[in-house]
Formats: sequence, C-alpha cells, structure tokens
Amino acid sequence: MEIQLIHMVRKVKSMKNKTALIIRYGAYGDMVMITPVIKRLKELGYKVILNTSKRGMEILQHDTNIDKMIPYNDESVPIDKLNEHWKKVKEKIKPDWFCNFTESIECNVALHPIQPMYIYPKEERYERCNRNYYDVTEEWAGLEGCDKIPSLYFTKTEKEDAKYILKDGKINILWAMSGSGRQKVYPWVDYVMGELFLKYKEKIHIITIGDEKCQLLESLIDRNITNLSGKITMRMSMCLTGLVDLVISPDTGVLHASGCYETPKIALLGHTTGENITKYFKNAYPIEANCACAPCFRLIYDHGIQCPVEPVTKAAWCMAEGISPEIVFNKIDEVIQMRCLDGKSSNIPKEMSSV
Amino acid sequence: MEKAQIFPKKCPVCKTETNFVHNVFESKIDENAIWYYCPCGITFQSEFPSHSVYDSEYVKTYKEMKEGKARQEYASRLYAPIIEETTYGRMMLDVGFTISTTMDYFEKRGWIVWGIDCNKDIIGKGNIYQGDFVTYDFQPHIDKTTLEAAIGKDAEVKRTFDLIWMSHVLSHFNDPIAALEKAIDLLSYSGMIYISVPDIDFICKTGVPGYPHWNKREHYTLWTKRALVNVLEKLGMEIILSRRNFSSRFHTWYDVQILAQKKYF
Repeated sequence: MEIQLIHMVRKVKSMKNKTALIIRYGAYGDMVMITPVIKRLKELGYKVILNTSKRGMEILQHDTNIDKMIPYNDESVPIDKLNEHWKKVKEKIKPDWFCNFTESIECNVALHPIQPMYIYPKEERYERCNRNYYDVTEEWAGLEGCDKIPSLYFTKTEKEDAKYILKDGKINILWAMSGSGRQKVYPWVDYVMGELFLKYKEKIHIITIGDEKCQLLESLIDRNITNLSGKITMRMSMCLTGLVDLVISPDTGVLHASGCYETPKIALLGHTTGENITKYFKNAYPIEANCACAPCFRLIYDHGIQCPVEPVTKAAWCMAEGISPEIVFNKIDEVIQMRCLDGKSSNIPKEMSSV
Repeated sequence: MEKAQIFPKKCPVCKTETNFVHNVFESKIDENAIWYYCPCGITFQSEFPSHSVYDSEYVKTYKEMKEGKARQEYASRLYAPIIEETTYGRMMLDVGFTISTTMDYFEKRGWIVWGIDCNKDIIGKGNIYQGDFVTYDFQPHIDKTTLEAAIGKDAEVKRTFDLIWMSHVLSHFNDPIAALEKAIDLLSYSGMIYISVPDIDFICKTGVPGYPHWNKREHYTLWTKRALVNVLEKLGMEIILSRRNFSSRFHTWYDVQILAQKKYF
C-alpha cells in the first residue's frame, strides 16, 4: 500500500509542470462535453491550457481545472488557415499532451454534408453514429478514466442571481425553446404548457430560455411563466439547470449542462439519440423522435433544405411529427409526479460545483 | 370482330391528330384494342381503359409475383443513392404503389413516405391515401384564421415531396400530362421524380404480338424514351438519368426508366 502511494506521489511529481493543450472551438454543448477530459487531465497533474472560442471562454470560465485560456476569435483566422494556426499555438505552448477536439463529434458521429456517409442509408448511419458523445470524446482524447458526465463551475453570485429567477414553493421547470439550429425547435410547446397549467395550475412555474429568436416561440404569457429567451446569458441558463426541479430541452448546450446535476431532465431528441447524449446523465428521460427520418445523426445547417419539413409549423419533421405533444406531456407529468411532488425537491438548491 | 370505322384521333400528349392505327388482339382477355401511334412517340388507346381491374386480386398478383419483393425493390435499391445524392429532403410519395415494397424500402433508409393509389382494396399503414392522384388534394386543411394567427398572413402552407415515385403508373392515367404537371407541382424546389413506363420502341425487338405491355384494361398510353424526355423537359425538368430496360431483375421490363429533377438553379 505504502509502495503504491509512493509510486503515485512520484508519478504526480513527475507530472508537475507538464502541460496539456486542448483546442476546442464549437457550440456550447461541445464545450460542456470536453469538461470530463479537462478534469481528468488535472487529476493527472497537468497544467491545463485551453485554446477556445468566445463560447468556450464564456462557458468554461471559473473552471478550476483550467489553468489558462487562450482566446480564439472566430473571425480572426480563415478556415483554410486553421491548421497553420493550430500548429503555431502548439509550437508556442510546446505541450506534453495535446488534443485538438475539432471534428471529434462533428464529422465523426454527427455527419457533415461533405461526408459521403451523410447520405448513406439510416441503418449504416446508425451503426456508426449511435455512440455516446462522452465516450467518443474520451476516446478522441486517448485518455482513460474520464467521468462520463460533465461539470460546470459557477460563482456564488451567479448562483444567487439565478436563484432569483425561481419561484418559492412552486415546481420550477426550465424549458429550452431551441438549440443552435431551427431544426431543434419543438413546435408544440404551447400545447404542452397549456395542458400542464390545466393540470397543475398554480403549482408550477415555467422558465423559458433560448436566444433572441426564441422570443418568437414564447407566445404564452402568464404570471407563472417567465419568458427569458434572449434576456439572460447562456451561463445563467446553464446555472439554472442545477437549481430548477425539471429541465426540458432539445439537444442543446443547456441539456448537456443539465447533465452536470441530478436535476430530472427530459430530452427532446430529433436527430440524435439518448445513447448519444443522455446515456450517463442522472435522472434523464430521453424522448427520441419516432419517425422514419430520425435519428439522422446529421449536422443540420438549414433544416428547410436538409430535412423533411412539417408544412404548417415549418418545424423539422422529427420534432413536429416524431414527438407528439401527448408523449411530452405524459412524460413531464410522470416526472413531476415521481420526482417533484415528493415534498423535498421544489426550490431546494441542489449540490452544485462552485468556485 | 365487328367492323368499325376508324377516325383520326388527337394524341393526349402533343394534341396532334394521327391515324396510324394498330389493331391488337389480347389473347389473355380475349379482346381487341385499337391503338393509335403518334409520331411524337406516344401510342395510345382509342378509348380510356376501364380501370376495373384494381381490386384485391390485383394486389394479390403483385404480392405473389416470383421473387416479388426483391424485384419490386430493385429499382429503389439501384436509384436511391443517386436520388439521395441529388436532393436533400427526405419526403417521398409513391403514386399507384399497389403494395408497399418501395415505400418500406425508402422508409428504412430514413425517408418519410406517403402513398396514393386508386385501388379500393389497398392496404398499408401510415400516410396512405386512397384516391385519384390527379384530383387528390394533398394540402393540409387548416382553418384560415387559426393559421394566420399562428404563422402570419402571408405564410404559405404547402405540402411538397422531395421524391415522387411513379413506377408504371403514368401509362394508366387518362390525362398523363395533367398527372405529370400535378407531380411537378407537388415537388419541392429540388425535388426528383422517378418514372418508369412501358417502352413501345421495344416492339422492334419483340414484334407487336410479343410485346408484353398491351393492356387495354389498364394502359391508355405507351411511351418512348424520347417522348417522355421531351415532355419532362418541356415541363421544366432536368433529366438526370434515362435508360431503356430489358432486364427482368426489375418487376417489369421492356420499359423506360427516368430520373428527373426540378431545375433549381
């Protein structure tokens, strides 16, 4: 035992001053996905340096596992010069451990239109892409022993500010209206919310979040609905996922953030699966679209062109026809009955990593 | 056979009068039919087919065809990758499907499939319509006020398809041009159409008695490749592929197969 301990101490000592460089530009969810790798590198004694975009800077600030962040301005380097840019960053840092997560998920298990597999039959796409993103990230990094759930760090002030949004004595539900693309919009939010208010009346408080465009989707106004799309930062939205009683979200950064906590979460999955996203999350209830085109595992840039579109709502077929409002309502109802009406969860902040 | 006076008739496709006539005896049904040949490449019957044959027995014939599923699926297996490469969307309509083999195949590949057939005995699950393709209204019917409230005044609600599959159905329509126009109108901006029709040019190989597609109860028009290409191009379609097929790996042969796409740039 002692020998083992000495061995470990020596190993940790030998790692001291060793540097790990991570490059990751991408969407919010992509940033959350690399947090287990960052954590693991820190455990292994590395000084962790992250070269990341504005989104990464925002989401991963205050992460105690990151020693230094090198900002990358999305517009400063043309795409065809990125390889050169990465090479320069690497040469400057001279890391002992290096990983560039570009295309670790996208183009690997989420197919880009430039890839031949993008148009392969569903079965073949399923075989290749139905893998957990956290497993894939760990594999890409070539590390073992990473957590399979993410971790985010918020300051006390951030948490206090977020708590201010909650309503005492009510079941606080955080509903993410959309993700990075319009194909993630769930068009039947109003119907489901309406049903929820009919059943639970004053017992629930729904907080809707998203970007500014999502304000178009916030058509219901009620004193128990707090419409915050475009009004709060992504960090605050993510912080809320650890404070509310239930998170409902399509495949977004918010959903990944909710994976940090035990908060019950209902994932509305169109182009991805529960295996991809929520496999390791605690208290996760994925609803996968039930229609022929889903899951497509495709990166969608313009759903009007790339997806079958439901003609009335103009939403992607998987969200409009693949996930019925009844199923969503029933699942929310079930989770509220099971997890939120136990008299202890409502409005009691859960354990959150803090700085 | 009773002697009948034969008058020139207008071609249903190019509208020119013609008096080239074949008198064809169909031994299978023990009946004669008068077929007009038009220099535009169309051969058409003197009268509309009775269409009385579309019933459960008709469906059964397709179901019990030797190597049926494999042969009915063969065209979709062959052309699906080209279609998927050429158009993005994944909404498909199978016109006159009789049995759901093609739809099932496309569904497995990740397509949202729809089907329409005039056969009263068609069976199947999902988005199946029973009716005449040309007159059927595919558009969603939503109360105008509700619609305007939901998506604004000028919002257009139109159901479109990225692929319309017309395997051996065009020759059954009394107005094939109307059927093609309807199909093209239903296509999305880059939508594709697959058409296979009996190719009358094969009589040069089989001779008139040996040609297998004289079928007075079902077929009104028989096509040549040039006629079909010409019509589709006139209707604004781009021909992606056109070929004459004599292989019985397909569920029918001595036909022409065409993949055409809406011109979108």
